[in-house]
Amino acid sequence: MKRFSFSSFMLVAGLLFIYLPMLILVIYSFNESKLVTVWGGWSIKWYVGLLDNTQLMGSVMRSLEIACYTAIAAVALGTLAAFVLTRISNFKGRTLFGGLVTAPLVMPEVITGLSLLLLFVAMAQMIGWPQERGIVTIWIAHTTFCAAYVAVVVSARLRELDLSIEEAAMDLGARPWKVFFLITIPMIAPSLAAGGMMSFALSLDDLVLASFVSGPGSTTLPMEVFSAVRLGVKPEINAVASLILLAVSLVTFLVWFFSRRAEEHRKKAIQQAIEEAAADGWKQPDKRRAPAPV
Amino acid sequence: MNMKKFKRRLHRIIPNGKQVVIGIPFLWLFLFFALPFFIVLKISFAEADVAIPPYTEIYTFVEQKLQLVLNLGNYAMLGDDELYIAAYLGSLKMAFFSTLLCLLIGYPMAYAIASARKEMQTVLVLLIMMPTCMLVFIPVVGEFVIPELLGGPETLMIGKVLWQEFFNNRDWPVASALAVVMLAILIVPIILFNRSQAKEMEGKI
Repeated sequence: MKRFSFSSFMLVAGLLFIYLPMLILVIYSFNESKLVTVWGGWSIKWYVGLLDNTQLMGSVMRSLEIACYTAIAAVALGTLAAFVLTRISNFKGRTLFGGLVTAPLVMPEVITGLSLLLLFVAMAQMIGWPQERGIVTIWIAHTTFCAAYVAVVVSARLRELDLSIEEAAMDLGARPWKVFFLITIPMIAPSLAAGGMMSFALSLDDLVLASFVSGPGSTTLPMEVFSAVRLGVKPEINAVASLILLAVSLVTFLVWFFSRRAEEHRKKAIQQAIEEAAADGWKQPDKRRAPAPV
Repeated sequence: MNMKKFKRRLHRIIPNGKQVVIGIPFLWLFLFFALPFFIVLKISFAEADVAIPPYTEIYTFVEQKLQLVLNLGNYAMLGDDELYIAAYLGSLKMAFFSTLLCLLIGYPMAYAIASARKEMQTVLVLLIMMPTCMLVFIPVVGEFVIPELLGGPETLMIGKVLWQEFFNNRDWPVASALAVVMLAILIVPIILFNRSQAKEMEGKI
């Protein structure tokens, strides 16, 4: 009993540790005073002021755009990599491939950022592309490291899958591509969604890589926030952060809600199938699995 | 007959499905992940120069002579200067203590989640996962960027030095040498992690 109360205490303390700063941030975004540390009464003027701040809004839109592209590309690339690693058992350079896929997870971002920037500079010299760094270069950098996360998530799911389902489809004459798109993709869809959301969040949040590979005129939101914070926290930044907090919590809640509902549907469908089978007398219902009469 | 031959030859040139599936991610990762490191390695042996880009070429080809000039001065400087050694040590110390703290806080929390009711578990996990994507917005960070989930802490202090070398001093070769040394220090944990991850991903084939 005592041990349980200790662990729940740690849980509450840990959650407080995580959420208290955010709570303070949200409260201070409603601060009337221009000084962040002085409370001057409630106000929403910083939210109104946001609409006029085209620089900040521009960087928000740019970050969202990059995050969208990154999520799509990282899911495609990561899924391919995961598929190769889990389903194609022997080809030349397999160990190298596995290393390449997971290395971005542990590589310090400064090194990745620096090396990518140097690559872009060298490429601009040699083949004339990219002429100037911007959204595309940030997208490439983000996709490379997000794809690693996606690959880990998706390959975990791919390994759990029952291979016999895919084999059955192939027995019935489906080509490998068809099997992949009609059978495998729907079965790993949840992990694809999870990987996509993770990539979106990682891309939206990334400061180091973006600072290295971005060019003039392509400041992302974290860069904007970071440079603003270095000059002293402005209430407007608090307001933006609060809005993003709100959006993220809403999306998280919706995902949780819908996944729970889907799970309930599935359970109900399985139960119904069992009941129908029992009613048809196809097979004596298993007593342990039979649902309790309602 | 001729058509058949042509088709066969075409088949040999055009990669089959398997090769395409392997090739796309492989090419991407090679181009944007492996290749850049070789460039970093190359630049770390160059000399700083007032030019665009601000370093000298390490090889020259004049009068049918290929000259390869490796400048080890950057590495020597890293060993001489107290600043760099202090930064490396500081980063390692920071990494060690944050790992320890993470375990101290994270383990009991994970334990509490595991012992909670099943419906509560997903909610709790979501609650903890959510903030990881918006840490940067907490203004408490001040001077430092909150490092990423994995491998981040090492970048914190030496990262800052690297950053300054690169952007403030515009000394690309020294920054590259810093990165190479950093990678050399990290290579053992990285390889260990990679091996365990790769094994896990490959499953039981």
